[in-house]
Amino acid sequence: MSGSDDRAWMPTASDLAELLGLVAVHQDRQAFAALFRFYAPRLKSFLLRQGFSDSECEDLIQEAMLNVWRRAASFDIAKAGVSTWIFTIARNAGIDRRRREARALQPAYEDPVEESDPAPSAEGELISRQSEQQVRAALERLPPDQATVIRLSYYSDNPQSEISKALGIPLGTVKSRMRLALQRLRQLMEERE
Amino acid sequence: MTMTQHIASDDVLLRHSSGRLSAAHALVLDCHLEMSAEARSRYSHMEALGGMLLEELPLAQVGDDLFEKTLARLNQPVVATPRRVPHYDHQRLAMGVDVPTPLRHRQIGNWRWMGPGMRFARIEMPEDPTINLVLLRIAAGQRMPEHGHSGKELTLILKGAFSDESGRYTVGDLAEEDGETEHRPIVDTDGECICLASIEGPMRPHGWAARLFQPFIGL
Ligand SMILES: [Zn+2]
Ligand SMILES: [Zn+2]
Repeated sequence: MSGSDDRAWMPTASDLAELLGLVAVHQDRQAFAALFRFYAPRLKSFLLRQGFSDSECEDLIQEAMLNVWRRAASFDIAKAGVSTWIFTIARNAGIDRRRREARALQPAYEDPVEESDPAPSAEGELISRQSEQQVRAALERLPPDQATVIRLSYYSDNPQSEISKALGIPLGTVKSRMRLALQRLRQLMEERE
Repeated sequence: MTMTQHIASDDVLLRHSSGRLSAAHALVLDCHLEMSAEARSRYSHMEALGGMLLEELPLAQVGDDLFEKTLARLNQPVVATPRRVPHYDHQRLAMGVDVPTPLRHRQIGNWRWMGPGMRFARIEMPEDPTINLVLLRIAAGQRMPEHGHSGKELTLILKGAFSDESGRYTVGDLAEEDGETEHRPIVDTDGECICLASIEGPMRPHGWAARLFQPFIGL
């Protein structure tokens, strides 16, 4: 499952959509393996940054990829890119796990919620959508410092101090830099709609 | 007068989309997303950003047998967890408020007096005991005591409207406060205001008002 070839493999958005389509229509295990190869190591990076242990990460990757397999037919390219869809599935798996664990710590409390309350998100209905390429294009049009702020803030557990260290700017400046960067990114994305 | 639409800040939308908002704040934000198309649109951008950045993340080492383990689970039948009937299913509160979907199965406590013209009801949030999740019911024309915050506070308007230093907030709008802000909301004179608020840490009321917020303090 590993090897230098896999590490270099960078599929396009339509490659990924095609693979997912094969899973949806033909339950194609080779296509599923390719998706797994691409996403599992990236999802693990993401989940480690969310504070999950190594074994929790691997458990959550399995859970997320099983959901990808089962729900492949409900994926709609008009609503989200494959990476965005899979990202939200893994994120929600992590949120669900944290919720179950926190509730288990409160044994006196009888769980009133019989299922998760999913957020309206890429997993469900979207009002408007941006493909990952459009977001990437918008990010590339930002001044490099602003793009760095956004990259560092998204998956970091402690974005403010990381940004402060990476850019050598005082903590007090990070917040306003971050606000500006996000505002500019939003304007660029909305222009393209 | 044009209505200001107060939408969740980019920062909060980003943190929610990356799964980093604590459970109580996340619930308030989910209600906000249900009520505001503009917020949903911005949120979808943040999720696309997450998807795009996922592609860029460094590759972590995964177990050699992880794919085989996953394949083995594909063949197992899905065990349907029995759906329990929720204890609570609030569709509408007595005072004429449609309950946002994420709140419907949550236990809502009794209304308690909190000060002249002000009541609150606690919402059960066992997975996030550090944050007070409450419904606030404030009478028409009522001026809330000026207060600051010791942590983040998200307030979603479910009914009516209030104004403070940063503008006027109507149904579906989200007010965000943090440790650096202070405000003194006044409810519109033509009707009561009902809000859903997630309050991190005790509020910091000034002077006489400290007494009114007693129910919140020390939690
Ligand atoms: Zn003051
Ligand atoms: Zn406040």
